[in-house]
Amino acid sequence: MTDSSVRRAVDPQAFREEVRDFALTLPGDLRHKVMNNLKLEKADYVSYLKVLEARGWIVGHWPAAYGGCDWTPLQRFIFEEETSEAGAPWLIPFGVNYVGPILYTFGSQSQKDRFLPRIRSSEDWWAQGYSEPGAGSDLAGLRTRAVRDGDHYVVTGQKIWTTYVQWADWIFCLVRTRQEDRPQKGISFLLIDMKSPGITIRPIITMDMCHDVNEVFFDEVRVPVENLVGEEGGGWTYAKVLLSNERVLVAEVGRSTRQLRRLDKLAAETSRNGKPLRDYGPFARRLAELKLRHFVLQSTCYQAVAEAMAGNEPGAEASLMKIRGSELQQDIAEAMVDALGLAGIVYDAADLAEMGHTPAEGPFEAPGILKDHLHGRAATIYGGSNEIQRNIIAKLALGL
Amino acid sequence: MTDTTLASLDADTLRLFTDSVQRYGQDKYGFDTYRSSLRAKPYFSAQAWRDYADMGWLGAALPLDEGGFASDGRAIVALMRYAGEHLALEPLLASAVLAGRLLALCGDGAALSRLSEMAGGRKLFALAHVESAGDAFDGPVRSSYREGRLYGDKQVVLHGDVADDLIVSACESRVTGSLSSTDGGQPALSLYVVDTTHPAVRRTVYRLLDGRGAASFNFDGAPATLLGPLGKGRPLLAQALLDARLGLCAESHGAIRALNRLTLAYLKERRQFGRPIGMNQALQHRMVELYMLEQEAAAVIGAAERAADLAGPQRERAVMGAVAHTITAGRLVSHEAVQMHGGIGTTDELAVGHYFKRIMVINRLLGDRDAHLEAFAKAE
Repeated sequence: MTDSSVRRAVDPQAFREEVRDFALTLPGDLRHKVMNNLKLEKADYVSYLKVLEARGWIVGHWPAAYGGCDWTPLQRFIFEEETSEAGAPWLIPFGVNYVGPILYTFGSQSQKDRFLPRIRSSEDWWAQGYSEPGAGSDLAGLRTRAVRDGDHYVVTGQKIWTTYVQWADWIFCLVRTRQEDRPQKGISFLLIDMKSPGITIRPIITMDMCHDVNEVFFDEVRVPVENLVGEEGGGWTYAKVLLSNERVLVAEVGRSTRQLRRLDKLAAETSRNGKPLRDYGPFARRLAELKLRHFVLQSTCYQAVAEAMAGNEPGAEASLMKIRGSELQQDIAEAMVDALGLAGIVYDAADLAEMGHTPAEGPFEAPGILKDHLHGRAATIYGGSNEIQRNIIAKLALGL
Repeated sequence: MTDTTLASLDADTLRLFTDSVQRYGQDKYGFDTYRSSLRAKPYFSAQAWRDYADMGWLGAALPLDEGGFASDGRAIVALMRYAGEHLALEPLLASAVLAGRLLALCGDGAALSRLSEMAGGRKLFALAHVESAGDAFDGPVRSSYREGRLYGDKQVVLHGDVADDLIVSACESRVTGSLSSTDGGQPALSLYVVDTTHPAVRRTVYRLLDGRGAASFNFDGAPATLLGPLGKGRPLLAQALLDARLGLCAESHGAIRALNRLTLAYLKERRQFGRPIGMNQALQHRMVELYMLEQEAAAVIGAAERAADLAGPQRERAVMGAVAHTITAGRLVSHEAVQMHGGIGTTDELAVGHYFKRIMVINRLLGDRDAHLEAFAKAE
C-alpha cells in the first residue's frame, strides 16, 4: 500500500478532461458494439486492455511499485465513470481489479513476479471461481475441497456462474482446505491453471440466449502448493479485502449515465400517438424519475469517494450503492424496452453478433436493448444479491 | 349479422370443457413439449394443434350455431389460462380467439365459410392491423383497398409466419375522406381477408422474444375480400379485441399461477444459512404480495367475464381494467420469480425465464399498460 502523503496533488477536473480525451480515441467499432449492446468477443475486450496498457492506465489504481499510477479513489472513480459513459467496454476485472491486488497484497514474491507482469500485459485471462450450486449468497458454505498430497493440492468440486471462463488461462478459486467450526476459517485461495487435467467447462445459456457464464467441474485436479496465496485458511479474509476495494464501482453510475442518454434519444426519435414519446405524459414522468434516481445515486457515489479520500473505513454504503445502482440499471433497461413499443417483443440473439444487422422490427438498437434488459435481471443477483446487501446494511449500519 | 354477443354457457358444459383443458395440459403439454416445439418450425406443436381441433377447442370462442363449441367468455378464459400455464405455443389467441371472434362478428357469407375452416383447424388465421411497430397497438391505419386489391404494410403479426389467411384492416377508397363520427374522427376502416400465398403478398418472418413466430407483410395489390359491412371495421375490431384482451388476461393469469407455484416451491426447498430461504420474513412478505396479485388477477378476470352482458362502456371498462391489473401483476410476479430463484432463475434451462419472456410479450402484444389504463379511465 502506498503512503497517501507522497501522492501528487491531482486536479480532478484536469484528470477528468484527460480521461475524456482518451475515451474519444477508442476504436470506433468497439464503441459501436458497446453502445448498442452487441456481442463482444475475447479479442474486443483484449483490444481495450491493450489500449489502456499503451496509455499506461491498465492498472492505474495499483501502487507505482507494481506498475500502477497510484490513483486516488477519486481518480479511479472518475476513470470508471468517464470511460463507461463514453462507451468503453466492460473492463474485465478478474485480473486487474480482483486477483492482481490480492497478489500484490498477500502473494509471495515469486507469485508477484510470475503473475503481475502477465496481468498488466493481458497475456493471461483470469476467471473467478467463487460461487457454487449450493453456495451463492451463502458463499462460506462452499464445498469444493483441496486436499494436500505431497507438494500438491488435489481439487475436487464445482463452481458456477463463472464468467468467460471459456477464454481463461487461469482461475482463482476459493476452496475448502479444512473442516472448521466456522465455515469461513477453512477456506483457502488457490490459483489454478486452466490447462490442468481434470477441468471441464459446461456452458450455461441464459434467458437472453447468450453464453457468458459457465459451470466448471474439478475432478482431482492437481495444483502445485506454490499456487496457494497467503496462508492456508486465509482465503476468506483476502476475498473480503478484495470486495472492500471495489466498493464505489459497484454502482456503475457511468454506465447508467450512458444508458439514460440513449433512452433520451430513443424517446425523442420514437413517436407515440403521433407525437414524440418524450412528450407523452406518462413516459415523460418516468424519464424524469429515472433521471432523479441517477442524480441521487451519483451524489451517493461522490459522498462515498469523499469518505475514501479522507481515509475513513468503508461502512455499509457499498451495499447501498450496489442496491440502488442495480435497480436503476434495470429500470432504465425496462424503460428502453417499453420505448420500443411492439418492436420490444421481437428478438433474435443472432443479431447481436453482427455489426451491421437489420433487426426484423424497430431501430438498429432494438436487439441490444432487449439483451440488456434480459441480461440485466441478474444485476440484482450477482456480486452479492440485493437481499444479502440489505442484510449487510441491517447489521452494519443499524445493528439489527 | 347473427347474434354474436357472448352467450351464457350452462354450468355442466363449462365444467366439462375446463376439466378437459386442464387434463390435457397436465397429461400432454409439459415443459418438454414446449421446449421441443421451440426448436423447429412452425414453432408450435402440430400434434397439439390437431388435438385442439379434434376436441373442439378451436370453437371455444364461437357461437354454438356457427359450428362452435361454446360462446362464453368463460370458455375463452379457460382456454387461454391453459395457454399461459403451459406456455402453449399454438395460435390459440391469434386464430381461435381473435380471428374467430372477428369472423363470427362479421357474420356474412365470406366470414362464415372461413369460420368452419378455422374451427376445424384446417386453416390458420391472424389479424394484421398494426402498421408502426414503435406505436401503441391502435396507431393510424394507412393501408388501402381499391377495386378488389389491397395495398400497404402491416407489422408484428403474431403467427403471421404460418397464417394461411390474414384479416387485414384497411381504408376503402370510397369511404376514405368521409370521417366517421363513431371512429373518433379517424377515417373509417373495413376488414378484408387476404390469402398469404398470393404473389402480391410479401412476408418477412421472424420470431418473438418468447419463441413464437411472427411476420411483417407488404401488400402490393393483393386480392382481398371484404368481411362484414363496409366501413364498420373499427367497431368490429374494438369488440373482438375486447374478447382477445380477456383471453390475454387469462393467459397472463395462467403464467402467473404457474410462476407463483414454482417460486413458492423454491422458497420451501432452497436452503441457505442452514434453513429454507422461505423462513425469511422479508421473503415471506414478498411471496404474499405475489399471491395477492394472483388472487386479484383472478378476481378482475371474473369481473370482465361477467361484464359480457353489460353495455359497451361498462364492458370496456372491466376488460381494460383487468388488462391493466394483470400487466402489473405479471410484471412483478415474473421479476420476483427470477430474483427469488437467484442465478438459476436467469437460465434458459429453467421454466422461470421462459415465463418471464412470455409475460413480456403478453404485456405489450395488444398495447402497453399506459394504453389500457387510459382506456379504463376513459370508459368510466
